[in-house]
Amino acid sequence: MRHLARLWPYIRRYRSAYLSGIAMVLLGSAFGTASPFLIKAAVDGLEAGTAASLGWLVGALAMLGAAKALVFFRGRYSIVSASREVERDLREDFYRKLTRLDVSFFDRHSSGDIHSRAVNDMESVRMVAGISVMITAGSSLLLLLSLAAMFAIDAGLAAAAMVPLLLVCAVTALSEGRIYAQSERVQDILAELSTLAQENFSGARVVRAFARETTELRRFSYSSRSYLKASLALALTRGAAWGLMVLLMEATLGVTLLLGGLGIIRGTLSKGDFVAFTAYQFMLVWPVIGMGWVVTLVQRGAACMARINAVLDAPEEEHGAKPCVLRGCRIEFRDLTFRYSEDRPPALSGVSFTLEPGERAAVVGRTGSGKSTLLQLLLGLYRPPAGTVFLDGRDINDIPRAALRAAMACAPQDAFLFSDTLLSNIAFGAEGEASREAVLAAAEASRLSEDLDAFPGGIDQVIGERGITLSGGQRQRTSLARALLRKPPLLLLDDTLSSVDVHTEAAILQRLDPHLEGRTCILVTHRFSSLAKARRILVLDEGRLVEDGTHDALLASKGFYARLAARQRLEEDLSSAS
Amino acid sequence: MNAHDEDEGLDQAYDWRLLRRFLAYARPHWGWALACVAVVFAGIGAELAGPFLLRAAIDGPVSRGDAAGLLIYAGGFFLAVFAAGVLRGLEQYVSEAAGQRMVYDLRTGLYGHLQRLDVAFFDRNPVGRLITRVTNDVENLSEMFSSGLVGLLSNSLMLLALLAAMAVMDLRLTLVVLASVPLAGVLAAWFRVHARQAHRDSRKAIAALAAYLNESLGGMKTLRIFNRQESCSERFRVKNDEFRDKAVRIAFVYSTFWPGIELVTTLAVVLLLWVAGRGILAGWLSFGSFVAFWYLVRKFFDPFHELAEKYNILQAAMASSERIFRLLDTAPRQRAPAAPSCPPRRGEIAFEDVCFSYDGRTPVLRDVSFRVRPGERVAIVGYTGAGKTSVLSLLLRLYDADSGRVLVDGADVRDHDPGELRRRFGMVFQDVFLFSGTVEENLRLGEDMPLDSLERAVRLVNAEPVIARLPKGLSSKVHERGMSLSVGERQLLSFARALAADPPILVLDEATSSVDSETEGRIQEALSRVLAGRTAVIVAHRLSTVRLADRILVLHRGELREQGTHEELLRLGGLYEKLYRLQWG
Repeated sequence: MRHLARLWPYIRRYRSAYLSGIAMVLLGSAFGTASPFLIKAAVDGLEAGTAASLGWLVGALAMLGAAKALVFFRGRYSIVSASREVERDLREDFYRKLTRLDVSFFDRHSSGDIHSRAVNDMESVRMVAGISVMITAGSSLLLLLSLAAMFAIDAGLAAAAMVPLLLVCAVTALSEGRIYAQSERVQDILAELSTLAQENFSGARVVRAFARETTELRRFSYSSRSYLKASLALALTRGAAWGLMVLLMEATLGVTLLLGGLGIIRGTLSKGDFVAFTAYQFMLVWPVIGMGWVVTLVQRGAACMARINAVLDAPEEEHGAKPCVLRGCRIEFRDLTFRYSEDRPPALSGVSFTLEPGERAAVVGRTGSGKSTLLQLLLGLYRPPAGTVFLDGRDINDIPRAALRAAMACAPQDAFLFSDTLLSNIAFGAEGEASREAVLAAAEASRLSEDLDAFPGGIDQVIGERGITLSGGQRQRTSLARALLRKPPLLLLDDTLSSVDVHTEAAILQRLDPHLEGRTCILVTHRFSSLAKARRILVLDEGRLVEDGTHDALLASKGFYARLAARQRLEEDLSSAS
Repeated sequence: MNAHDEDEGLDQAYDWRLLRRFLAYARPHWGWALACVAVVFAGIGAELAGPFLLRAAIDGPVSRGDAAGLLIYAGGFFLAVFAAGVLRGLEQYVSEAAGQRMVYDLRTGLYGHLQRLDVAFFDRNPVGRLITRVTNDVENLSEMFSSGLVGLLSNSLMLLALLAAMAVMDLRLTLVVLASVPLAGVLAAWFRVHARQAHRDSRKAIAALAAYLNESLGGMKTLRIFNRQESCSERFRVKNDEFRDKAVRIAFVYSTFWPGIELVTTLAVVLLLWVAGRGILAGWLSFGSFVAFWYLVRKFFDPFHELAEKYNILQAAMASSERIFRLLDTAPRQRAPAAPSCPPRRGEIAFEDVCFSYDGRTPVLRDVSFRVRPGERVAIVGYTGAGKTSVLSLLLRLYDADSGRVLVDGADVRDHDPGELRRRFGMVFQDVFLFSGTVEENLRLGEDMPLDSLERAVRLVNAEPVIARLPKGLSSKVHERGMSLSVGERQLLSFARALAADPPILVLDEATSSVDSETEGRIQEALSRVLAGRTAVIVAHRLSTVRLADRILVLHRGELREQGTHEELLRLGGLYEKLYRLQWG
């Protein structure tokens, strides 16, 4: 329950809607409990053999019914709409929080998990803020007044009639929980089926090439069977719960028939009382079910709110650094050792080097040698220990993230593109708005412009989700154009051109030259043709900076770099021989 | 998942053809279907026994003052109540169970059908949409049976039965109740139309919101490094507001409907009280009839809203069934031969004047002819877009040539049994695809082979250290993200896979992305072992691989332009020589 306390400030924002809604619902309940009295009066009148007041009473009942419908409409609409506002605000805060969270959060939580918090959990929480409030307000008054009236009519009868009603409430509360757990299981298996299907359909080539069709079908049927079993179990619970509800709801009337009938026989109960009593019972059934339902809704909502709170309370990447502007970009690493988490081996250890403003360096190393970590640290995505990484002489941890990133542009290897136009995807790189000319110029520099003719919409072509309609090379060049649109002091190219052929890469790098003038640039690459042109090469191996120097100096030192180069030369020799 | 897709064609009317076809799936489960109908009838009977007993009890023992008699009637009432509870519960269970059993057949049938469709089909149809077919659409059909069909039957029967019961009790009062039916009908119709529209709109809005959220999550680092937090939050806000608006509309529809239907019930009861009151005074109506009637009227309006909702379910399911059946009717373009030829496995390949295009317009291969002798190794080289991978696809008959013939072991690939044809090949693709399951299953691929021949294959291709590093060796599960196997390691495993099956022909589509030199060395060594004694067709990107070939085919813009050995081609000074200088020079 304490998790739900977090909802309070949001609800308070819409307190007038809530208060008026609750007032309406309470009024409706009061109208509701008044009507059996009128019915009783009418029936008692009939017993006495007079229809004198019948017309008047019937008219009043109709008016009461109409008034009740009207206030219930107002109340329900007002409360549920307010809960939608609460949900909206909470979800917006949730999203904003996501954009500020420490990046490591996303290493620990899958996007499916976060997605389900933002959609499904939000929905459950909204049910607490909406329909639960309405039912609680309406039902509690209705229950209170009706019970008082029933006890006033006949205490013994009221007490007996309460038993099945309480059971209805208990059955609802219990079965709802079980049904929820079982539906979760069904959903889990359905997700499993989706995953199997996803794998099979996207691997259609492979499935056929390896003649796996029968095996695949067998696997799917197996999961389908467990889906069937889980669904049948759920159906059984639902059936049992519904059967019990029908039984208990009708049984309340049986109790009245028996005890009320005996009351009439003994003369302790009038026929009007009997009818009024029945009317209250009819009226109480749904509120009682509703109350049972609310218990489950609130339990579930609290669990969901806890998951949302876990995100809202997670640490942010900004730690209140003082604002500043970075001008030049002198980079200094001082004996940096960095691990992604305590239990993992260091991704970088004892790394020290300095890059002067305007200097260009290439970083080489095998996969997993720490090249990407180096860049991610510079980008402020992860925090190095204090006193290890400096920009312009400032500890990188003391620079606000926005200022830090305004000072650099990065084109990563696996560029992320949004399902939008190419233009917007490139303009995404600009600080603020970018002119069409600027975007086209950036596309020109990354040689994306040459491919634009192939798209019906040119630069305004909408690309599919994550840019699936583009080739790997086109994606990378789009990402490069995006980075080039910024004119920051530091440019980071993280194996940006790995999907582009050697020839094109060389041409692109050639074209980049004027863009790099006076800017610090770090280039991560695998390719020797690019490396030979770099003025300085940093060689990483298993997180250590093992070599640092020019292409020629490193070749001369006969170290790791020289071995890499020798291997390539060997192939060349081999091919020139014979 | 796919909101717009989910709703396409929703507006169509009922199609009895579709319904009949769906009901064909009920035939094997006719026992269950029959049980549904039986339980529905019995349930209605039990529920209607209540009011008659009520009337009899009030008019009989209660007015006579006969306590013992009352006891009997009340006992009967409880018995009826008990029966109604059990039967209604059964109805719920049986209808859901029957629906699930039916769609189990449908789901696996559909999936099996998709396994028979050719690769070109999957090129044309987005994966997300196909997943929706086998999950949500099939699920809709299950609901179509349990809620839709059984619900419609049960509720319409209930409505009729209630009317009949009322008419039996008193015709005049029945007419009074019927007077309020048009009002309830209008309300239900209004609800049906607006609830459906509102739900559809809100589903679309939440799908758009979810898609944007997913995109943001995927691009979270990109979003950060370009300082785009504000503008992205703004875009999210717009979608979030849009969803809120649609959701509030749903609230309006329900907030109007529920109090509305209650008002109609109240009005009916009021009218009843007025007329019945006069009837009791005039003596043509008993008090017991009045109470029983009242009881029936309370129930009378439930089916209206149920029917409105079931109708929407049925309509949505109709759209789903149409989509499913359309998919089931998609015939594979490739026909499997009636009498497949099964020539001895020699490892011989021939392309005869093969032309091919993916879309029927843009030619990818033009008049390609070549022959590969058993045991010969052929490398295919060419600039990007030359059609190298397409040659392999045709060889495996993943696609059919537009004209010309592809022969494997002397027989046209179209005359082979597809599965048997593909078992003649060992395959290593650019992106090594691992199926979820254990590593061993991935090496085996459903074939029967002793464990030690698998282990031998692993040893031969230098993949032992890779397996040793895995938590459970060969029995380790391949998780969604491939258990952090690197590209090179996956490559080694796929060599082991190819070697274990010992096929006569090896097809290799070499990965373009660079691997570190050490892994590269291991891969090359493994490759030479896999190649030993086999026919091989290799799309090569590395010089070392090209050098392993007996003959090199040079493709350019879909045409076979040069062929010969490395030295011959270099001496020729043509395309190959240019490629050589470009890629390895």
